[in-house]
Amino acid sequence: MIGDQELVSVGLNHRTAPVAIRELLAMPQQDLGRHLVGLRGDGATTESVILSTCNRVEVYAVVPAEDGGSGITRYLAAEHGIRHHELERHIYRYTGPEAVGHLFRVASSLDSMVVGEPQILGQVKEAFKAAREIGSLGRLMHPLMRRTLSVAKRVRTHTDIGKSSVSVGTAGVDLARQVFGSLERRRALLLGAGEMGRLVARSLLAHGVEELVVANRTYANAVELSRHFGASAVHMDQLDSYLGQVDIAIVSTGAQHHLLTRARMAPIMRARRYRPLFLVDLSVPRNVAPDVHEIEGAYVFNVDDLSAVAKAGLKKREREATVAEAIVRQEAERCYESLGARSADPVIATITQRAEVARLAELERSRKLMQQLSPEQQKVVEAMTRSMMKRALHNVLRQARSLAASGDEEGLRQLGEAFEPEDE
Amino acid sequence: MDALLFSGALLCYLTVAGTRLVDPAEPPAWLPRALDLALGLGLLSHLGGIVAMWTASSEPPIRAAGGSVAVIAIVIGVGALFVRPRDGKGVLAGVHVALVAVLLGISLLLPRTVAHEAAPALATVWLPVHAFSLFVGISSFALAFGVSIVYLWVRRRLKSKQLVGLDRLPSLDSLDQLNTRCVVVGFLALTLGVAAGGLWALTKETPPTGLGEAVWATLIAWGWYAAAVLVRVVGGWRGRLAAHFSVMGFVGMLVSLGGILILNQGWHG
Repeated sequence: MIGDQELVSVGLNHRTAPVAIRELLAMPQQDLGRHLVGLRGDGATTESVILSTCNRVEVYAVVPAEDGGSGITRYLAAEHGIRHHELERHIYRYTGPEAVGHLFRVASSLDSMVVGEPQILGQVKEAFKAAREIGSLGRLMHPLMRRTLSVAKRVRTHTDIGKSSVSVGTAGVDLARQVFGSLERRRALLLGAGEMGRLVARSLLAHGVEELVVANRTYANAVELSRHFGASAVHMDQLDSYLGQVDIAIVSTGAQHHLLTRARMAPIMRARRYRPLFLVDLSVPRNVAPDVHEIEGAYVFNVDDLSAVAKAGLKKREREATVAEAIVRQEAERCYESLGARSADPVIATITQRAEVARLAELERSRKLMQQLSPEQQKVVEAMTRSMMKRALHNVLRQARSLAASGDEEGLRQLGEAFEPEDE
Repeated sequence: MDALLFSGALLCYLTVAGTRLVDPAEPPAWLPRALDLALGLGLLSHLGGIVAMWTASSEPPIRAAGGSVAVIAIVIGVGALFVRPRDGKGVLAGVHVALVAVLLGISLLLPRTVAHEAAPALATVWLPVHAFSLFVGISSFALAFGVSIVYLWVRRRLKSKQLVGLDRLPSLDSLDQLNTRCVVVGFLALTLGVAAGGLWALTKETPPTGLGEAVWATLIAWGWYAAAVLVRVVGGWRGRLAAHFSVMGFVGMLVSLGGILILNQGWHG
């Protein structure tokens, strides 16, 4: 507990709720402000942030301690037309340090469907921005969100959690990079219209491939697909010529035989002077004969090769996740403790203010004596009294923070009362 | 003194090369910086050894076999620093530093000074140009050798589909480009060194009547690398062929020049 309030995280995600429930609760970016105001208006929260993505809807909030976040669930159920008890079946609720830890895990992509995916941090930043704009952040949520972003960044820089490929698309990109280094200024050819081929082509384009050409048995389909990618379509009879020019070829057709055989590829590679050609064969049955890989400069990878890379990447991310979890745990404990200490802020302000009043009163009482001093001497006395006051209060203020951090509200109240002005 | 400094440098190099090549599974965050520091310390200690040799014999340590090899080794070490930015996790640095360590180890076993005084004919401006250019040339070919070894290793892994963990190695294309640059720089330096050596011979009071073993070996190496540059730059052939050219060229150079250095106790007897 922080004073008479508590930090909570209330929500559901891809593990606790089916997509049918998640889509009911989803809140578009433009509606976040309305819901943040609604939560506060209902008395469910005093500070809040809403994170709504395709995999999760979560409210991180400061709530009255006795409510424990149940007001948030009631609000969500009422706003989205879901029965309260139905929603409760899918909802999880974390309080105190667990809530902080959960937020850190989410932002660090440890709670994502694909551990280490980078999008979630951007989504958390957007949620933070929306809450700040609407004014739903206060003395607890604001520092918490800032800390969240810095912890997520620390996890990214101190671990390799986001570095290995975990999908066929990124595995293809990584292997292409192993051959070419940067993919900028590289040209790619997409042969066929298979779904996996499109996936790899999309990844390659996203990673800087300069030009994509599309070839298909049916030219009209190639034209349609090329429009989708902002690419150009070529006729199948131009295929060999393009294979001589491009750096990467993605083959994903429905053909039941080898389209690219060693006999066909050998002269093409000779004409290229064995300049590397990266061939990704995603067709089943395979469309590129396995012995093409034996030609100098030709690197042929099929769907099993890419899957193996993705699987190894996933395992590596899992290993990195254990390191990341330790960072998150340590940071969450530290952060909650420092947030707890913030409940001492009003008491500290009162004590400091009262001590300052007393100091000024004493100086006033010695006014006549002070007037006999030169302006420089007066300044020295002024500074001396201020310094004495600070030293005298140092241990008291530390005690106040420590009481607040340990949740000893009664001790904190008594300490504040000790500085009540005496009745005249 | 020089032996002590060289031994210290050798220890640093072996540590760097071993760690870079073994690549611990979960290296601590401070390790890359510590390895760079160790390499820097090694190079400083190595340089200190060369300066100590120079001070002790009052002449550049390039006449004796051991001194020459130690100088070539440090030029390779410095060259490795230029390659480092394109080397991701430092595997290439591991290979280069291992090469430096081997050469420095060999230099410790060879005589590092010559007993007789330098002939007056050696006091000409062409000698430092000749020696420095040749050392830069040999060092560039050594770097090309290291790059090519890594190229062939990466290529082999791609061809045999050992794909897991490949991301810590540089890409084939960047290795191929590095190889070309090293060979071109080495070839230009070697050409300058050969030309300066010719001019030096011509300025002697009694020009040599024939070519010594070291001159023959250098000219053969020049021809080999001229072919390598021609094949790469003019012919456009790259990749495995260029890598094999670099590996065979350097191994041949190492055997021939190394043999001559050891047998002659110096470059030109």
